[in-house]
Amino acid sequence: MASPDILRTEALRCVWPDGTVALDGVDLSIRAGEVTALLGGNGAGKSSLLLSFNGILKPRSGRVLFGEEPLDYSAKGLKALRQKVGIVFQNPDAQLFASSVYEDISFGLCNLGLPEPETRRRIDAAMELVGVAELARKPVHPLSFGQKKRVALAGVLAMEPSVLLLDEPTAGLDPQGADGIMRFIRELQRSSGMTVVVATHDIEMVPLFCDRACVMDRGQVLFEGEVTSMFEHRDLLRQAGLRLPRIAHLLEILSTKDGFDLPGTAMTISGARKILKLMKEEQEINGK
Amino acid sequence: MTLDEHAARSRLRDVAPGFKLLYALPPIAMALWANSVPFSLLVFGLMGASIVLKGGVRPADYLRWLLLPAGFLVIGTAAVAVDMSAHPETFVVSAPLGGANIGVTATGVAMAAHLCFRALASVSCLYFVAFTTPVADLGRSMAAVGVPALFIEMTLLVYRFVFLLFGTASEIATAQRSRLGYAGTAASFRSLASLASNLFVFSARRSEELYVAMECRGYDGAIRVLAPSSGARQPSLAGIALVEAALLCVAIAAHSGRFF
Ligand SMILES: Nc1ncnc2c1ncn2[C@@H]1O[C@H](COP(=O)(O)OP(=O)(O)OP(=O)(O)O)[C@@H](O)[C@H]1O
Ligand SMILES: [Mg+2]
Repeated sequence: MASPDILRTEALRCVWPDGTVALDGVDLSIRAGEVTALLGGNGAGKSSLLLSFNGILKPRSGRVLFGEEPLDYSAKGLKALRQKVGIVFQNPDAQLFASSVYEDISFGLCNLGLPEPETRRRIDAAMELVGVAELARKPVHPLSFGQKKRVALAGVLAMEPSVLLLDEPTAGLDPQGADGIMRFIRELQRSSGMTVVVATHDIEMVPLFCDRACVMDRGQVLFEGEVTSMFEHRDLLRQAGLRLPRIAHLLEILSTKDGFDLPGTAMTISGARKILKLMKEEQEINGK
Repeated sequence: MTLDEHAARSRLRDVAPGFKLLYALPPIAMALWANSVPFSLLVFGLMGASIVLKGGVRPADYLRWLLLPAGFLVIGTAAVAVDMSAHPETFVVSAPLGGANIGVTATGVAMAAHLCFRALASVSCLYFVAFTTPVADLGRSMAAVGVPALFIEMTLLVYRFVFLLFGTASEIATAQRSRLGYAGTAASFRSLASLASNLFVFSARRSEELYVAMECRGYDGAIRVLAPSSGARQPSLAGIALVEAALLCVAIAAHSGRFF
């Protein structure tokens, strides 16, 4: 059942040039073909961890492994790594540079040295997927934040990496757009077996779209494991400045404060419905 | 709307940039050389009509953009028309000023008019390019005429960063203003100084971030991108040649004094 680890860190310690310790002894495995959520408050080190997976932030001590190999920080090694590990940054303005949307998305593909028809096919497909097809010829600067975010995602998706690192992909998107992007990432992972790591604050999204989760606080990993078992460690979540999904919170309050006798807990609406239906059935049986 | 936005929605946008340059640049040279008011007006009218009728720019928008150089022109040419002399009889209108007279002469007015119309004609030609060709397309066409790739990449990056820096600067300024950063002279100077230094730090950081982001997508020293839709419209060369030839004939006639 356990898929092999595609990315692994061993006692990883990373320090920014100004002396800030971003990661402080991180041991973490990312499983191939799964969606892993990276959770934690502001400044917990989520972005830093993603950067170190991509070879941008180099370890002070410890190491990062891709597959079974430690990362090779030579120019050639990094190039090879980055063809397989794509990253979408938290701030889209840091990533978009070309003078039109289409050109920006084409940049990575041109660097891969693909033939032109293949490049065009992939650009069109990526734009269609993230819903920016009608912006193709627009310059980048007048786009809205959410639109820029989608374009940045398309530029990396088009390169079809085997691992996709997403830094807060849904922050700043409208609710439907956020769900759309996450659903779409989920589908991509299911259909093409892509490994996805998402740094996020959006705890509601985690039980819906993620297989595993990792909770970080001040550069350290507090929890790593299945999403379902993460919600059993509520104290850890609170310690990391997070909270339960609203549904789980509601069910918790109903059973602890209001004396409901619930047959289990749930994180999502569909989970809660199951529980409530179960409760109704029990009552009907008891009532008879 | 900025010029670039006009260009992005122009009906002539899809025409290959080279053809637009071929259409609009030679008339500048002709207008400068012919030095004739009717010829300048002809070029001005032709370009204006092309921008409005062919490009689909609203006349009001075009006129608003023309006001910008027109202001400079009026001030600049007024200086040419005005002259100073001890003899009041050379002037059309004059006023005594100290020992001398200041006023406008007939030749001064003629010269100013020539200058003004030549400048207007040239501006309208450049506007034709600016109103129909986004900067990015222009950059790409520069490659075709042998401008070094490095230069073009720089131009396009600068183009992107101008907007980014401008956006950031105005955001910082707004934030400062909302906290009364510009109430009073001392505060204004302080705010402006911190705006400038922040902008500098911001640029340095941004360029580093961008470099990293580009590396992540395989950047290796040359920016390679693919332009949208390879099928740019190619108008008939013969048509452009005909227009240019006709203009040239008129220019020669005007220059040799057949009219005016
Ligand atoms: N470029 C940098 N230079 C110096 N210090 C940095 C830099 N980037 C991040 N840091 C520091 O590293 C620590 C971890 O930051 P990081 O960006 O990884 O947090 P995060 O979990 O992504 O937070 P957020 O949720 O706010 O995005 C913070 O203390 C931050 O101040
Ligand atoms: Mg972050």
